Amino acid sequence: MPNLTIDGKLVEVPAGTTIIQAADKLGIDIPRYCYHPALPVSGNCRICMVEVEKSPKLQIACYTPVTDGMVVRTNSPKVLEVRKTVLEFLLVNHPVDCPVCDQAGECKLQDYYMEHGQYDSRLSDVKVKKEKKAFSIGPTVMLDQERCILCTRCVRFADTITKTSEFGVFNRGDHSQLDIYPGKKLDNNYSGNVVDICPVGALTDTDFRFKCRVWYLSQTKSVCPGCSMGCNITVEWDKMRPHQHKKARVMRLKPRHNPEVNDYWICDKGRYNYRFIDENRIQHPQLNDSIISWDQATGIITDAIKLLQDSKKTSRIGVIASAQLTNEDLFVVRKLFKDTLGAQVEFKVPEKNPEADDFLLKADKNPNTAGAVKILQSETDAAQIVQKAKQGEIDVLYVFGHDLVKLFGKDVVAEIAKKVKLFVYQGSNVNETCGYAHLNLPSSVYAEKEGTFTNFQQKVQRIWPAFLPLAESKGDWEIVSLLSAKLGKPLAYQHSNEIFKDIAAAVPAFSEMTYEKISDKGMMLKA
Amino acid sequence: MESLEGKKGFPRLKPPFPAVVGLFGCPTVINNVETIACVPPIINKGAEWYAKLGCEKNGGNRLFCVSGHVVRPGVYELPNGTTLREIIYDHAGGIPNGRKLKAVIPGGISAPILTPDQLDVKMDFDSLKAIGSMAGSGGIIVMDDTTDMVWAAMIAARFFAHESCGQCSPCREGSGWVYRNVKKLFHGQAREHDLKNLPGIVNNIGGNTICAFGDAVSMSVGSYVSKFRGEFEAKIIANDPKDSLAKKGTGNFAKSND
Repeated sequence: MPNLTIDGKLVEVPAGTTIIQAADKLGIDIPRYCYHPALPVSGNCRICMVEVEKSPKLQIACYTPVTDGMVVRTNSPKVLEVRKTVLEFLLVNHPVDCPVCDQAGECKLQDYYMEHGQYDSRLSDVKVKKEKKAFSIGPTVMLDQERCILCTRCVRFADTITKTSEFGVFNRGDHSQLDIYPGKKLDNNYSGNVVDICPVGALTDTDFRFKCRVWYLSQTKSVCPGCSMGCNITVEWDKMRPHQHKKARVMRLKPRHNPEVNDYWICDKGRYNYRFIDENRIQHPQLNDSIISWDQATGIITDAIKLLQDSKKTSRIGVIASAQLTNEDLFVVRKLFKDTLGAQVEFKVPEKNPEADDFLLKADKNPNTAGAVKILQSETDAAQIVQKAKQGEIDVLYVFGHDLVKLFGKDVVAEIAKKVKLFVYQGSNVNETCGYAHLNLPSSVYAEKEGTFTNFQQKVQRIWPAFLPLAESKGDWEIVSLLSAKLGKPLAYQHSNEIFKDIAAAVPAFSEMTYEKISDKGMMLKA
Repeated sequence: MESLEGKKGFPRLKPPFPAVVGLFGCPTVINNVETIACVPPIINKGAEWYAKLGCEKNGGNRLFCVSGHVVRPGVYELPNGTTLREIIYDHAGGIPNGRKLKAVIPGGISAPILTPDQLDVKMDFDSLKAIGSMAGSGGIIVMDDTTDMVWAAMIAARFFAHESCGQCSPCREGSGWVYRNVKKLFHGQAREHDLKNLPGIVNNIGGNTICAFGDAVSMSVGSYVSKFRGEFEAKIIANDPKDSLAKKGTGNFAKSND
């Protein structure tokens, strides 16, 4: 393996590594526009030029392979000068319309100008006029040709990652412009990623445009709950300026790099699946049409369960848990309902026409099916609990998050609501099932929870709470432990970490796992 | 090669060079017609005979395409090492209408321009390199004393801006910028800072690009400015209206640093 020196630091890398990769390994940041680790090298932006000893000209770090004994300098006066000049060239025909540009604040032209530019402007000439500004090229992305620096990241993304090849660079010289091929639209399920990889404001997100300046955003690491892929994401939210976006907190979701799961990408289905966090939420515990307190709500359930306990008929409690819940939620559900009360607990429901592809989108729309299987140790279809309820064999039906109306139809749910003595719906958002449930309990969404999901690869991944639960909603395990206290069988958990310790002790697949070990990259279940 | 493969006509990143990985990934030798035309006589008469045609280290004949202000423009096959003076005055018949020579491009538009005092240069690769130009394509463009050198620079810059493929940023943006700058100078719309900036902009392109076209922009346009600076200076508008307004107190302009 070649050894080389970059800025005086020695590093050993595998043969075939490029200078920029070696520098990244050392934590030395070489500016880049066209280079992206997941795309083929193009070498057109010229800002990553570095000085290589014994080489007469500067070399581009993104393309030059390292050799043994190579001496590279990334901060010599010659290198800094070239960065400055390349930046100047890139700005010759750039409109510098930062005040109205959505990229401002996360724009690499701005960033590198502050780091390496800061020259007195010599750009007094008229700029080349390009055709399309604020031009919609598909359902999710807007194109601004004059802001484009023609790095071709998006072109290469569409050519090599999605293989849909919507983008091309048309014309020559400084009349070159990025565009979509005639008659095409950028409408593949991964279109939003081109906004992420665009280093400037040429491709912006139709959904996010002008919603919030990026410097108001806070970031919380999370995992997409949209399917069993478990793509790593960052929830980007703003609580300081509620007047600007109808009190919504989440502004957008961004992919978070994890080479073992989603690399740098997420699908559009996942990317735009965040409105439910702030919209259409169940806000208070509700008995039929009246708002009640948590104490009253748990009291009602306790009364119903105690009746069954007295007559030793707790098997007439049916619980439909959900693979949308975290491992922690599921473990507490199991402990109370299955281990303590002896109720029937299932979580699997039939999926209706699930969309899937061979990249990131999975047919199983739950983020934690693998975890639910291990923790609840059951793979029976929850339809049989519904069937039993319909036949009057269930007295207390406790449903977590599933819209039964969508799954089994109105008639079935209406009949169940009549047959069972207490129909509890615990979920985050209002749906048709809420109208039939006797008692509705507001639970928090994934962005308000701390916990873990287990994806289809059996990888356990952490999620972190971005903000507090909305209104009176509570985490699913917190609601269940409130109930357990009311029942006189307290599961005294204060923090999800304590639950996870118990999971590690009780469920063999999770043994020896801790939150610290899982960190933000995930950890595989034991076979 | 890119075009043959059905792609946009962009230069490739090198290495690998075409002789190693070329058309469709196969080793490929690319030569122009002039080179290939030399092959039959070399095979027929031997390498030694061919080498003796030229001068030391630069054997053989070359094709010189003489154009511009000469009596007999045309293609001349002459030994490497023939002097520029000989080509222009003996073969191409000199400058018409009794005018004087002002400048010569010795090797195509990309080659740095030469002045009359450099006419005795031998037209071979090494000699031209030694005086800071290049043999290039052998295209000799002769300009007499009626030629406006700012105009000539503008035509060269226009060619470069038009021909830039647009792949890498310094050449794509720089060639157009240089053209607009020289155009302003030619039309008498430029100010002092425009000329002051021109050599810097030109130099920033060369050495930083994927192919040698960027170097050509630098060398060519740069040589006009350095060798005929007086003509460029004469085109500048004397006073910057910003300054005069500031002096008169009618405007609220900050004084610029330059």
